[in-house]
Amino acid sequence: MSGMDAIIKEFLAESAENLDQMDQDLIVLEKDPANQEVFSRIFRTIHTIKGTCGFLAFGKLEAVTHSGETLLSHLRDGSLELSPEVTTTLLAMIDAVREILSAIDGTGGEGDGDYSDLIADLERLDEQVGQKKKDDPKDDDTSGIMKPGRIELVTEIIEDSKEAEASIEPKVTPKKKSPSKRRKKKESTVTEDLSAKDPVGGGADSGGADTVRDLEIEAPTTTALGESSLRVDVHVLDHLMNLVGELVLARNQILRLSEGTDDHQFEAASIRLHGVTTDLQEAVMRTRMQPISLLWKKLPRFVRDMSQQFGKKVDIHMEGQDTELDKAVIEAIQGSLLHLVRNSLDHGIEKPDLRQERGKPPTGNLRLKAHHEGGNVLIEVSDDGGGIDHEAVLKRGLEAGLVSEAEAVSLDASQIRALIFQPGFSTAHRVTNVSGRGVGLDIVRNNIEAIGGSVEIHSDPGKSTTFRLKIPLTLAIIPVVLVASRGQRFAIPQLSVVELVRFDDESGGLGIEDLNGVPVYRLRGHLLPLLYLDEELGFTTSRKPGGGSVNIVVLQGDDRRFGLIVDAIEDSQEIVVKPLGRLIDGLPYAGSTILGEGAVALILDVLRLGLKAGVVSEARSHQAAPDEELEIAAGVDRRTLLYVMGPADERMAIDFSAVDRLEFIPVSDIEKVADLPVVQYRNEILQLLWVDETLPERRTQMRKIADDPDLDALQVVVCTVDGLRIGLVVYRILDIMDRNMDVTRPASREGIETCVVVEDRVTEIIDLKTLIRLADPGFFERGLQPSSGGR
Amino acid sequence: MLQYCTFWVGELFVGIEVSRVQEVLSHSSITPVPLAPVHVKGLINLRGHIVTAIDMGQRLQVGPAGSADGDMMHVVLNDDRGMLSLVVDRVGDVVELDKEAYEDPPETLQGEARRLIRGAFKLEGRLLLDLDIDYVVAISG
Repeated sequence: MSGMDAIIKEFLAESAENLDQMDQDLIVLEKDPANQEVFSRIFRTIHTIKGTCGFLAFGKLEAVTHSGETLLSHLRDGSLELSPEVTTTLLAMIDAVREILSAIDGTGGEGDGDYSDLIADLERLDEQVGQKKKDDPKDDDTSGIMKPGRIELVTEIIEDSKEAEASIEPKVTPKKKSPSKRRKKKESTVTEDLSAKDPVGGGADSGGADTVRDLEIEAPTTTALGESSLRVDVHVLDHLMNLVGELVLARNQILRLSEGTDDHQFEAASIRLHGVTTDLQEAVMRTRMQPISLLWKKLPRFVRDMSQQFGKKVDIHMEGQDTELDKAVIEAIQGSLLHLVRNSLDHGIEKPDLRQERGKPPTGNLRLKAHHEGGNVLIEVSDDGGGIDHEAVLKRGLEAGLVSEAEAVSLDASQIRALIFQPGFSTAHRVTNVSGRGVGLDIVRNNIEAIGGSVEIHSDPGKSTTFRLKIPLTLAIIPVVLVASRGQRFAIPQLSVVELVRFDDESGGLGIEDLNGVPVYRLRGHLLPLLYLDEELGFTTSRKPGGGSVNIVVLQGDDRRFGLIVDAIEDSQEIVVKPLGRLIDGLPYAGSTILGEGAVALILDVLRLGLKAGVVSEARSHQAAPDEELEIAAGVDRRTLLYVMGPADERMAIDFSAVDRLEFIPVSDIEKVADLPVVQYRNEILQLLWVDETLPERRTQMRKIADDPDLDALQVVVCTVDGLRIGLVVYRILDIMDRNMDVTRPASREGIETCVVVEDRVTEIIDLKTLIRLADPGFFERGLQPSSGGR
Repeated sequence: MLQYCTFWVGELFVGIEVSRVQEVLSHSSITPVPLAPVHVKGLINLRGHIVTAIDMGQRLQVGPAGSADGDMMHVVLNDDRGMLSLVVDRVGDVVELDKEAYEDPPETLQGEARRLIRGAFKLEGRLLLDLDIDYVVAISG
């Protein structure tokens, strides 16, 4: 009997919940009778109770719910209107059900209440249906098709199968069916569907029977499905999350109280509370996260169907399927993602024969990538198709009046590509039945921007197209490093953090150096540009002439590294990313978070910080990476250069990637080995080369400087060329710059790669290899000093 | 009769319709937002929601709201775009007002305050300024 008890208990618990919901639902329904979703829920509840109590042999309950269900079915198919009287009677029915259930809970029996009046009421209301039907010719037709004898047959079959129905949860589908279809369904029910049940007591009411049958055939979903997972309203989770937040605050108060007490038991209890609260907080936060694979798993099938339709061959590749996003975000981007995939299949990837003509394998590739980056999720949809035909896009833009002739001339490649996001940019001549139906990419952009994201497009004409979505992970959990600046804590996404460096500035020579006003730090032989966080945040400088310890957070902003000097590096922890409050825009913050003790901390947007300070240039930001080829083709060069000054105030530059270190080398340290100037440097012998060695007249001048008794040290740029180290002696180191340069003229002499104009000065970019060969032809052959690494 | 929630910002006695106010609280912990406009006092944690606190003193150009030792009151508004807190010096009663007592803003009101104040109710002994809350909420920087 214990097994039965368990079933009854479960039945009671479930029913109680459902009835509470039903109360509310009926109220909603009264105001909004067209709400099918609510209706379905009500119907399902009563239906389930009825089915189960039949199985458990609660006759009275069955009778009540049966009448109720019949009435509901008529409401559902519209043959009866939800009048206040009907609502009241239904609410009375719910009360009756509740009463019987509580009797069962208490005594095991159904109690001695008499519900015949209620049942009579329900039936009386139900009889109005018939009358209404007679007035309605269409419904008359329907009832003509339904043959009462048939329904009785159904009833008989079903009476024997109560057990089966107990596990059936019908899904109500508000669909109107044509009479002929109905008949077909009905017959199949008679012969096959054992799970159908008797919906109408005497079988006299055809409309109700019809409805219920539809329900059951549509979708007999089993309830057994929900064993390991549970559907929970997201609002419930939100609420839970806020409650946990409150709990954390209360916990912190308790902890503070416990600090001032000698009561060890209290202390122990509060520590336990602390642990449990932390775990709870984490667990609740995780409930909202879902992997993006939830969204992607539909795609292989989608791509297969679509590519067949287009007569194309496409392989789909997916990377980063475990990337977690907030549920709401996943839902918000679903449509846009499908649209982009469809767009790639339709307009991007070419047909197999065309691909072969273009020298590509006949099967195209569609790639989806997702990963977290600095408080955002980046999702890429790329294909190796025809890319974007800039001319065609521009032509279309002109036709559609999106740009004027005058504007068109001055548009660059990325501006042209941006045109496809304009409303009204519909490639009407390429309309297919799948895409190009007026739902343009502008909708995609709007949808993504609506949730605070952005869309970019990159294209390599003839080769590929990539859409890059940057989606904020509201509510997402990311690991961060907490740092302090001016007594305020800030979170830096750990994904951007390369390493943490702390040193005492007294340790001589290893500290922060000034490179023409730009602070740099030598990190294992590489120069790291530095930013002071407090300065970047608008506080007055904390730059100290020396002394004290320095904390540097080494950050990766796209493909550039830079160091952020903070007052203290506190802790690393996982945080929940929350959107910034209202009215805070355009600042270098990626969001905000609530720390353990309830304080709000800002999450730094590392990339924006770097861009703002100029250590990461717009050009170098990796979003632009695919553009680089184009820009080089267009004669635009972007490089990071170390600017140096020659003895006659001329400007020269060295490619920064070859630079290891910048050193001051005392003149007295210079020795001669086989007539070559060398110094002992970090347990190596470093050969020195005067930067304008190729110009004999200047060489003399430089030597003079070296011989100048007032000058006790030379500025040396230590470079690695082909794995060999060499020290370039320069007159002065000026700056490190990373920018766009217009090539003005080719090199005028050997050892110079090219000439550019930087800040109105003609600057020669040194071709290190050639320069070294010119000055010392034997340098590379000798392999004098193998590089000790350091990179 | 109109119901107004009243508060003090500097010398100004200001009110907004009570229906716009979600709650009033004293909240000491506020996180400043470096680089933000001066009228953004900072962010507060309101039961797990991050809420931007607007310094009404700065908005009304009468100097920062709140006392020197950090005491301040938050009048929290909630509309379809979420919550927003107005930081004020002191909160007064909810008062019932007669439309008859309403007048256009006093001429002496200058600058930004002039745009933020829709009008004034003549109360006994003082004026209650009617804050144009939509304008306060609409500003973004």
